[in-house]
Amino acid sequence: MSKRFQERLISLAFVGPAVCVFILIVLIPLLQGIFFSFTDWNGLRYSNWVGFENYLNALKDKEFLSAFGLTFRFSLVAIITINVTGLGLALLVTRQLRIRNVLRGVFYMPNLIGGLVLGFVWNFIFTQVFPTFGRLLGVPSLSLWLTDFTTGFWGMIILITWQMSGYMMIIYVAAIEGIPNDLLEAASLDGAKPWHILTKIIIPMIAHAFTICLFLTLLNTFKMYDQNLALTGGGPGTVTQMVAMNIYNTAYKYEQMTVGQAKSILFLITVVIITLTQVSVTKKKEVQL
Amino acid sequence: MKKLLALLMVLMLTLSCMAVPAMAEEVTFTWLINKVEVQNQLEQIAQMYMDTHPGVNIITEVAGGSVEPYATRLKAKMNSDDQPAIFVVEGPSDIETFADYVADLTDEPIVDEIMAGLLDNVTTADGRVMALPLSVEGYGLIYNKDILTAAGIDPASIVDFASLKAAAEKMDGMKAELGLDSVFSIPAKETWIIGSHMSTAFLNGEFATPIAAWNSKTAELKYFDALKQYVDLQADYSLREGETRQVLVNRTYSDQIEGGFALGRVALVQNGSWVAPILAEVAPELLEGDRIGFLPMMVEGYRTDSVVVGGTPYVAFNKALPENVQAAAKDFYHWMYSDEAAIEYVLNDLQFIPPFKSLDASLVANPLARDLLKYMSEGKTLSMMYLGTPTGWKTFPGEKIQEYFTGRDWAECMDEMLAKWVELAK
Repeated sequence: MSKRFQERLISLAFVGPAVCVFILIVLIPLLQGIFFSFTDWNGLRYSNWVGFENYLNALKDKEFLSAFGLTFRFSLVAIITINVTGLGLALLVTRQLRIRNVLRGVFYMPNLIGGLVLGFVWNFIFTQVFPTFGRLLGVPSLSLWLTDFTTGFWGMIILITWQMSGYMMIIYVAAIEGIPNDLLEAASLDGAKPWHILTKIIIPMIAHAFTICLFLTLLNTFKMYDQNLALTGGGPGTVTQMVAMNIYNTAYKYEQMTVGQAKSILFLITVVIITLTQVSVTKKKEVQL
Repeated sequence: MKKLLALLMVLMLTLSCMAVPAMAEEVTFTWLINKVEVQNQLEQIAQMYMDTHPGVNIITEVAGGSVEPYATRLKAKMNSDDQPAIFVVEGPSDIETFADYVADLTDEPIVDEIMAGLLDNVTTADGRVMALPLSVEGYGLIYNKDILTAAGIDPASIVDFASLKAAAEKMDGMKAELGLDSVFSIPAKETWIIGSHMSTAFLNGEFATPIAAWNSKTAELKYFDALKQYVDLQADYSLREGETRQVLVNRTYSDQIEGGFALGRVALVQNGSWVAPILAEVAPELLEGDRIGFLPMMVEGYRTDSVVVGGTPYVAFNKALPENVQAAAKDFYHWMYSDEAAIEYVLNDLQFIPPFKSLDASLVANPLARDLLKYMSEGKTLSMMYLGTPTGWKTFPGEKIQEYFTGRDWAECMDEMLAKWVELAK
């Protein structure tokens, strides 16, 4: 057995299982999905090849288009709120505070709770706790949370910000602690104000963290499903229904499997284009020392 | 030596695995049911059958709820090697989807023993019976007799929409004395209640059976004006002090039953016989005697003396499985309603009403079930129309009613309900 062959065998042994699983549960279903989106499959069998009909039906569906619009708006707002909060928390817990390790743990904790549970917890807060306070304080509008588009939308923003900021905080903390101390010291000796240190040194120096954080928040908010389901269920009516939920409902509630499949292929393409653009743009802004 | 030993053990393991299916006369089958709330009891009754029928193995599987809908699991199972022998079909749409699996039961002698009317939902246009009811369920307006009596209202005097409205107004004026938060409680968050159950009840009169609805490419929604006044009445009298209608879209099933009706803070709720097990847990005293019962669904203009009754869940038998498995599955179904110990368990623990003519009504303990049987014996029943509406349509009116509560125009909502019907029934 030559040495090279042995090395290959070892690397195969390490990569092999993961590749097998990837092919089996990601790649093959994806290819099957693309195939089925061109047929009249009903979940059990297919008999006809229908070309692009499913895609046309998907694009003609007003609910799908409005879900797309909502998802874009939601992602945009959520990316800003999550990253601003996450960075703010990171700046807070990298200062010389005695309880900073406790704070890091506390801020990170919501991320450990599953999306469904979080959704039900916040649903309880909005629909039971808020109205109770509303009655006590004499503010009846507090009982109207999640009953229309605006409060449903901001309810979801609050939920996702609360859940994901801690995660982003950890990444920002790692990046901030990686900034060489001499840079910060030199700046403060030169008389730079905290604001200038933040904008001229810290933020450029952690640009690589922005790449990963923006990518993660974009991806997670764009394909959000369980928080949406548990918090508003897409309601009232379908005004807070995001794309993932619309796809699910098309496939399973209306049992239009192939239209749902076509929608999810369209969704996949959109997500890939947007995230690739984002990564390549933010990569260019990174600073190499 | 070690290697040899390991090899031997592997060999033995493999052999022992292969040995099990080789035993003769063993039958194993799965029943996949959608009643999540009685999973333990379903397992228990399967165990009772296995204890008395050696050689038969029953695997009980339960799926349902909003997280993994029943249809999702069923489709996955049918695509696998592990198909259920007994599975739930929801009327004509599923019978069509699962046509390769649903066995024709027309010639089974047991069909003649089923109560009249329950098979309408699962009989095809050419008269073939494709599924059997597993229990009798029904829904209407559940009332709390003590509260009505305290307000000086006789439930029997509520015979049409006007008398219902008068009763609601009267109780609304006495809320403080009666200890009520509100007269009604409409759980508008649950589209399966306000959509599937409430709205589709008003398709009665327009269609003779769910099958007729399934075969219709369009609908008039002839009695949806009556639905509107029924919705308005419930909405107006579901509000507490200072609340507006919008708040109702957050109200849930458990707000309605556990948080309202069970505590005596609500007098009238539209719901079904399946609330009995919940009441048994949180307010067992309500199930004593005849303290609660059903008022009819007020389909004004058609019939205002009937409740909605059906044989849900309907179970089909899988014809793609071997003959002996099918036979065992059918025997199990028959046994549930012919063996004395089994019937007792079904009635008292599973809390199903057996859908058979031979049922001795005096054995039924819970007042909602007894009331249902009374309506049935008088022929005062409406059909579960949601079983026959186009796939996915049944909850849609519920979504529109939510939008109506948040300020949209009713006529607009109705136009969209109609358009959706036409779109889905293609």
